Amino acid sequence: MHRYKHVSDIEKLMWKPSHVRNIGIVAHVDHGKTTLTDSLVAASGIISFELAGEQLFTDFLDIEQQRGITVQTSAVSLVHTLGGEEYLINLLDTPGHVDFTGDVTRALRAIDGVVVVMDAVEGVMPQTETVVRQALQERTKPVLFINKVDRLIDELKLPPEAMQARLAKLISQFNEIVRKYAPPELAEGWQVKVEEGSVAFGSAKEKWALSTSQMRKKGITFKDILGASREGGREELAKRTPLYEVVLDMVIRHLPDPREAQRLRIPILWKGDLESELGKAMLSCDPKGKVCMVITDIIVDEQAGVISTGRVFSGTLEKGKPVRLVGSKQEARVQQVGIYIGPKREIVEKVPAGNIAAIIGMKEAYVGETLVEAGVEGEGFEELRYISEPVVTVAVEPKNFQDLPKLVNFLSKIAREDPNVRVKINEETGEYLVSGMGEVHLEIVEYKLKEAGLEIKTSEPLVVYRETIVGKAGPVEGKSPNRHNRFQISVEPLEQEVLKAIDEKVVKTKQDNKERARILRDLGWSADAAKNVMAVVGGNILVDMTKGVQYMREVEDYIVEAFSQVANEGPVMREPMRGVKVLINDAVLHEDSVHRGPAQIIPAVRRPIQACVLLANPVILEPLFKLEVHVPTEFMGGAIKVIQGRRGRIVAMEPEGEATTVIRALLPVANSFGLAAEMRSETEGRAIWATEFERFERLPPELQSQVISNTRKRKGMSPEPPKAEEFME
Amino acid sequence: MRLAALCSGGKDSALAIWRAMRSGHEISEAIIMIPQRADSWMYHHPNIRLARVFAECSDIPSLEAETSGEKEKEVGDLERVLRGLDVEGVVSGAIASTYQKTRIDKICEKLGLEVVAPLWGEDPLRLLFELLGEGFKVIITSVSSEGLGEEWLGRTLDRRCVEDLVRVKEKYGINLVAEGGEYETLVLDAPFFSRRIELLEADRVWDGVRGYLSIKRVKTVEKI
Repeated sequence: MHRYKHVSDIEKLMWKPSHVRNIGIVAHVDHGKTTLTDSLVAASGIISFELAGEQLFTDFLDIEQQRGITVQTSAVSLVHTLGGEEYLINLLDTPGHVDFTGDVTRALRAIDGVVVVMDAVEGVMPQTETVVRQALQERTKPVLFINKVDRLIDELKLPPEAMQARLAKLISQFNEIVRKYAPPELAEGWQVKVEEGSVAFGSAKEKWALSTSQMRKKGITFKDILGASREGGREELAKRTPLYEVVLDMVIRHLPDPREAQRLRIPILWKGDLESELGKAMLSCDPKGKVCMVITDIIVDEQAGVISTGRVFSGTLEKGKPVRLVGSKQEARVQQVGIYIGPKREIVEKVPAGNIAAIIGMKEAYVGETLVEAGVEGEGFEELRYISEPVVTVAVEPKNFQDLPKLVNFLSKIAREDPNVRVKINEETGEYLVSGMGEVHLEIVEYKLKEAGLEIKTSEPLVVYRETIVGKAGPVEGKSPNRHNRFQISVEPLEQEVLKAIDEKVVKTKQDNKERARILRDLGWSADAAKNVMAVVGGNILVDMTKGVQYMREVEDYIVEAFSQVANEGPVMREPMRGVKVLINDAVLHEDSVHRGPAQIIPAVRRPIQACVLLANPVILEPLFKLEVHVPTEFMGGAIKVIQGRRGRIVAMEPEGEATTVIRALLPVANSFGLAAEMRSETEGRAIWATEFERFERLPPELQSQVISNTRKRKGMSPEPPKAEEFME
Repeated sequence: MRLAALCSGGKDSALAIWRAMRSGHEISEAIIMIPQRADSWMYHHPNIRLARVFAECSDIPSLEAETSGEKEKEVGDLERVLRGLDVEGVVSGAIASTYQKTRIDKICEKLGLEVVAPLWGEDPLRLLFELLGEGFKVIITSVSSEGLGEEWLGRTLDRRCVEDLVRVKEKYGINLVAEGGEYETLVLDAPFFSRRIELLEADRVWDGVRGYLSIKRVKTVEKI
């Protein structure tokens, strides 16, 4: 009974934007995000207050319980009272493990503010910086919760002055990040300040927290906190100044409501015309406007089917409404609308602008898709920016051949739910290749397959390499098989700045041509080349340098297809290419379209590109992780040994406090497998570390031929890479 | 009408001749243009000399003429051949190649000849099935297209072969009847043949992208 009342409360509040907050909680892994989430959910009466410490409410998958980390984004709506007014807080739980960075980015699209959880002992960790940076880029405002203050008291036994100094230092480190990554006009205003109450500190596990406003209101001092360490004192503290109250008060006071947030964020997030009817409705978060929603997460549920979760930016989402999917250009109908309460959805009649909604049964949608009311012209939201690259692959095959269709089905389901998982079939060996962001990420995919009752065999994790060139080559002539079409093609290494602009999605295929030309000119390209970019595929760029070649427009798609084929599978070992500029210098095309179909043009373009790459001194790039290890100084030697034994390069070592050292290193992904076990044993389990994709770097020359022949053999090819002549006339 | 047929020995010229005959036309001559280059814009290569055998089996007198095979020049070569003939028109096997059709039309207009192009604009798949249904025996003698590998050389155009071509079309976008030069054929038997052709010796020649069947020896056999 209690719960139904709760749903109807939420339904009423959804209509008052000033009383709605869409927030997320972000943190480095194990800094206490899930424990905080549980406390907040508990306080809203959905699960019992006392249990919240252990019952990891949002970690509802078995696997997450076992691992003690949250893997899948889920949402929850809860109600909090401040100053006699009820507020609706839509909370998206975002995963903290670095292997799931993509989920974090997507969740950020739907929310307006974040509570950043930071471990008082560990301080700013690599992922703290990453997620805060992501949030700031999306103009999502942060507040700070410093967690595990009990550890400062119990383990480090800091006196009040030292504790205050420690907290002040963490806050200034945090503000450093904000200053560095926030849009300049917001950087000052978004600094968190103790005196304004945009910082809280406490212990999520013990369910207490404090902020200056709370200290003033309740007359609590630092001495009281330290005094509370005696028997039973902390329970008392939790009753006097409960965690949920402090954090939710802070959220309501300091994080923007959807109307305020959309005014600020829509111009950044949305590409469409702000003066249009839809643009105005979104800027003002108008529930009477036409519907516009962005899908940030998709889950495939056995019973309910496809469930798309996202943020309604304008209009009111309701059952039966016809909508248009902007990206995939399809029409669809909203079958059912729901809101979230933990892992459960509740069906509701309507969800107005400014809220998080779930649409049930829309098969056409993909993550990142923009959905507008049928009959409305409207652009999509910007392509979602992911920071991580999938750099590790496992080959998967069923133990029983007849399970193959089931495996294919399930893999496509997983790929749909998590765009950072990529699935590809190896046509030579018939294996399914599943790529993800790290060893753990793929172990979870594997686990999900086994959960589905599939018996599978998996290979050792494999590194995803890149092929690139260090020289120039061409022009090489390519002829169509019927010899009636000819292309002159050359390649050269792509400038580092342009590659960076592509990585950052500043330069891309789907972009206004003039805008892209301007950016490329600013990066040093000639006006001619800059305005004739045909395609950008995975860090490679195709430029049409031909002049007045007849029928060029008509074969453009085939040329781009040929380029994409090589960009996705380079000639050396069929790994993706990176950093290659392909120039079409000249072409002769048959006047009759029947003689220049795809089966003629594609090989006529693909083969000279392959030949050029092989002539341009091709080299292999390997992915590197950024590794940061926090280790007690006496175990530092062990950690260094582990890093150096794995081709790691130590970049910096700094003391952190009295007894700990921070080691920053670059570690080849190829040598990262099994790191956890070795690091634990060498440091007697005392090191804390995190890895994150950093960049691609040239493989040491002495390893190159071995990597090439191993990769080729694994893909069912002869160990020697082909010669350029094989692709030339 | 009394017509000269442009004859390559391939399936399209054969089907065009057959349709023309069935409409009551008389085929007085088979014109065989022999290009000096492998990449002629108009004419077949490399088994073009077998077109003479094709003409023999059809009991049609043949007229061979060499042509440079260079773009546009080869058109003039055809014009010279046609100029001396005592016919009212020309049969062409063009189906969808505008390049081929417009040039033949132009020459014929100049010479006051009719153009009979019975296959023009027809659905490629139906044409292939018509060949099968009418009892033509056709083999593939060259391939030059993505999706058509060495194993296609020498294949008989039967039902399975047509189905495979449809698959290649779906995957790679070829023209089913090879109007884009995707493959070339030789007709070994046709309903209007009095003798049929038998292959005695042939080798596959493959350069990694395209290839042809190098036909060394054939014989003709009485049809029973």
